[in-house]
Amino acid sequence: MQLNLAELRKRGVEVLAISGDSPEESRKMAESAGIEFPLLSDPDLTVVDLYGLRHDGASIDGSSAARPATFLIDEQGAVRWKELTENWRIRLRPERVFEALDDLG
Amino acid sequence: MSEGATAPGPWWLRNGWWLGVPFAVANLIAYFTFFVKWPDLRDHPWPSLLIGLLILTWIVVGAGLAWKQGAWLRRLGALALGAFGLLVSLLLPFYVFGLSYQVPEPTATTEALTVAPDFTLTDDQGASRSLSEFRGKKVLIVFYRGWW
Repeated sequence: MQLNLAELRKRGVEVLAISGDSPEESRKMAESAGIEFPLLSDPDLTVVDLYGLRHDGASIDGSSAARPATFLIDEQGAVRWKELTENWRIRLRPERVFEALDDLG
Repeated sequence: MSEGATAPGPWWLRNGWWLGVPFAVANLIAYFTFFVKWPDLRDHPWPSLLIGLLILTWIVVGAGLAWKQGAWLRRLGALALGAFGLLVSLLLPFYVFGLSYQVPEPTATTEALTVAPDFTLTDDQGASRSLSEFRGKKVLIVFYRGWW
């Protein structure tokens, strides 16, 4: 996703990523992976629950995490497109986002 | 069969089968450190799985030959190393075909979302960010599992 950030911004799309990681863990990941969009920290999974994405016992230590999911929100705050993977190993392809953007016009 | 009798199989299999075990470990590590760098190979890891299958065949056939060679110590070694090799070889298929599908069904909450609920969270720089600051722009919200 980082690779396509410039293209996304050119099309007027900002990227926000959310996980249960602490800000400190997110900072390390942002640095090591060279990520330039905000990695938001939701340690209590409050926002994850708000979007119905809690995955109970997902982590190795038995705690819960967010299931992978992507939402495209328009200028008015409406959810225009979402993708919920059924296999968390297979990550979202940027092409899918661009297709969704094309459909939005 | 006594030891030293005309042993079956080519020498590299007969005496070198145990090399399959470090190869199996290397193949597993290679997937997570090397092959994941290409999205196609990460999502469809057929090379890794195929190499793993060849290595597993090597280990199983080699351990079988070692077993036939008789001496109990050799048999014990063949059994232990063969079992370990089998276990290592099965980890990647287990991850690819089992573990990675462990995702809950989409919830009714998610399905019903038409307006994105606003939120305020702390970002990786320690700053407070809200979805509402992006009103007037399109936003791609990516939820990810995070560190385990």
